[in-house]
Amino acid sequence: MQPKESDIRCRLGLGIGWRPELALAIERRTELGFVEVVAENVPADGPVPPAIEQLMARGVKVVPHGVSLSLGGAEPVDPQRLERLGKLARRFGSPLVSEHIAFVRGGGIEAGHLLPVPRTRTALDVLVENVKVAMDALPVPLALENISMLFEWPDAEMDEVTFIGEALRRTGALLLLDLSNVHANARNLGWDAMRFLEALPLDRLAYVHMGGGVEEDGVYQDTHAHATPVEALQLLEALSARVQIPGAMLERDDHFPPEQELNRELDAIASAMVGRRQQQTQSAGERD
Amino acid sequence: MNVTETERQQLREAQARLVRALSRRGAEAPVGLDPSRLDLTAQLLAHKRERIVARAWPNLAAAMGPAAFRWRFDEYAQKHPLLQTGAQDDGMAFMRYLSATDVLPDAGRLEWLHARLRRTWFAIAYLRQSRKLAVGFRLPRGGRRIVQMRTRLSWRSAALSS
Repeated sequence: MQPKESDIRCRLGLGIGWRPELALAIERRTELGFVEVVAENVPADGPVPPAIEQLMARGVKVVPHGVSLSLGGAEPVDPQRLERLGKLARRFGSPLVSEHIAFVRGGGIEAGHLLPVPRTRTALDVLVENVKVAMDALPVPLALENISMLFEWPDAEMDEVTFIGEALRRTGALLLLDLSNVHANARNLGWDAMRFLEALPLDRLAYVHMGGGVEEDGVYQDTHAHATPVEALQLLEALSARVQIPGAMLERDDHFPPEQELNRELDAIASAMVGRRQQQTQSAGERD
Repeated sequence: MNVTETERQQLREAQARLVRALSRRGAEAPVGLDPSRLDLTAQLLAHKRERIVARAWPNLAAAMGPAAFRWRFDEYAQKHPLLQTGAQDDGMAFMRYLSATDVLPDAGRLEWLHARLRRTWFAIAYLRQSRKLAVGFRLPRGGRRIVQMRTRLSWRSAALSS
C-alpha cells in the first residue's frame, strides 16, 4: 500500500494526548476533534480500550504516535515495530500516524529519550532511507516531528530547519510541528524561532504539538508536566497567520492538573490556532 | 545518494557512544559535544526513567519514600542500562535488584505479585517484613486475588510468646 505524497491533509481540529489519568476530562471535552495515543502504550491486539472506543464512536479521530522507530538511527527500521504501528492505524481508523526525526537507541542500549540526529549529509541520507521504508509499509500517511535538544552534534553541515525541510521534501512525509520544541531550542541553543517557522515547508503541516515546560538551571526543559509557555502560544498564533492549521493538541505526560486548568490550556490552544485575525472577524461579525 | 558502509558504521558508532555516555556516568562522550549539556541530559534521562517506573509501581514508590526510591533506583540504573523500554520490565528488574539485597518492601512485592498474575494463573511471594506468605490467583473471568497467610514460623513464635 503506497501512501501518496499527502496533500490530503485531514482536518483534525483541537486535540490532546490521550493518557489514562486524563480519560475522564477528555471524555467530557466534547468538541475535541482528535486524540493522539502513544503507539507503544496501546494494545495492538485484543479489545480496543473502552475509553478509546467511546471516543471513536463519537467521531474523534485517533492518531498513533510512535516513539520507538528510531528513524534517525543508523540501524534499519525494525519491521516488527513498523508493522505494529500500521496495525494500530488500521485498528483505530487513523487518518495518519506520526514519529520523530530522532534516534532512540545505540550500542544495544535504549536511550529512553529522543536524541538529535547529526546534521550531516550521511545522517540525512540514512534518515530518508528509513522514512521511505516506513512510508512504504504504513497504510496511512506519516508525519515527522521536530524534537527539542539541549546539545548539538559538532560539524553540522546544515541547520535544523534545512535538515527537516530536506527530509520532508525527499520523502514526501508530513510535518508534525512541535512549537514547544521550537521554543525550547530557541531558548537553549540561541535559534530564532520565527525564522525557523518561516523556513519550514508549512504546506506539509499535518498537526501541531503544544506542551509545557519549565526554566531550571538556566535551561528550558520541556517536561510536559507544566503549563504551556506563552511563547509557544504566540508561535501558534503567528503560525495561524501563515497557514491554516489542520490540528493542534496539548501534550501532558506528568503531574496532571485539575480538569479546569486542563480546559484552560485547551482553550488557549483552540484560540491561538485560529488566530487573532479570525477572532477579530468573528467578534466584528457579532457586533453587526 | 547511497550511504557507504563505512559512513553508516561511523554514524552507528557515534550514536552508540552518545547513548552510552547518557546512560552511564563516566562513559566517554563523543568528541565535540557540550559536556555540561550532556550531563544535564543524562540527569534528565535518569529522572525520566525513574519517574516512569515510580508511576507504574506506585505502591513500591510510596513504601520506599521518594528519597530512598531515588537513590536506590539510581544505583540500580547505573548498573543496568535500559535494554528494553517499558515501565513493566524495568520495574520488575528493579524489584529483583532490591530483593537481592533484601530491601524490597512488602508493598512492592505485593505489587509485583499482582502484575505477575497478568501472565500466570498462580504465583506466590514471601513477604519478609510482615512474615506472611502471599498467594495469588487469577480467576477464570480475569480478576486477581491475593491471600496473605501467616507462615508456620509466625505461628511458632506466637505460640512461644503466649
